[in-house]
Amino acid sequence: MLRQVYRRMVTVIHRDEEHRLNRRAFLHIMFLGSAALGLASVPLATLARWAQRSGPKLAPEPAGTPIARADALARGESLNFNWPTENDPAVLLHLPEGGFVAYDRRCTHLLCPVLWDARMDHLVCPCHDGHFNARTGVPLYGPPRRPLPQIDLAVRNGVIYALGAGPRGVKTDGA
Amino acid sequence: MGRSAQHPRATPYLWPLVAMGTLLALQVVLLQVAVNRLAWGMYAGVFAPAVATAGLSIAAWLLYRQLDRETVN
Repeated sequence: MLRQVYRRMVTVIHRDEEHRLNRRAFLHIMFLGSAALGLASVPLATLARWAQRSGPKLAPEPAGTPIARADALARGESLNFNWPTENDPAVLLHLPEGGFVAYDRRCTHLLCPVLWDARMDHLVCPCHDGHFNARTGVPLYGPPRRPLPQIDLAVRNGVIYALGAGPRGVKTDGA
Repeated sequence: MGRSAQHPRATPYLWPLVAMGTLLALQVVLLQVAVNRLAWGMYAGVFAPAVATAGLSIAAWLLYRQLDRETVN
């Protein structure tokens, strides 16, 4: 059967036999294409089923990295930590009105580490006096033009976790 | 006088090509959906388009078998 299929294909594409590219041969090629797509879908379906059954092994829920206990940080206090690696400084804030936010500590101007100024309610870069909004990470004044990358947080059983693979530039509602 | 009256066999023999082409195009789209979902880890959404692609292959085979009997050239 394969030889027959091959012969028909070769007959169709051979230049000397081009006049044989008739409706039947054209339909034949289309059917072969359809069969190829159908066959290609079988491993996909199998793989998807297998992945679904394996569940968490293939698509793990992000467990997060524990940063601190929620009750260890009073309102208006901050905690410096490193995440996702030891070379990535970050800061966790317990906002005066409640709720936690965390940011990459590197100023978006020239990467100086920013500090939490509770009196001004800003994150401040001491190098060039850049100020950031503590709730959104958006620059308020000074040289920085881009917001501080925000870190997704979750609070589970009284522990604050950093989620995801690293900080992102978009604001969240906080934890 | 319309085209089908001048060439009475032209119209009946056009629809198989259109039907087979439509099936093939649908299969391409469905398979692409399945591959994309697999790539994005949306495993629950892969099975349906993959099975639909295979189902359309069977439909194409039935159509082809029928046409192969009927088509003169």
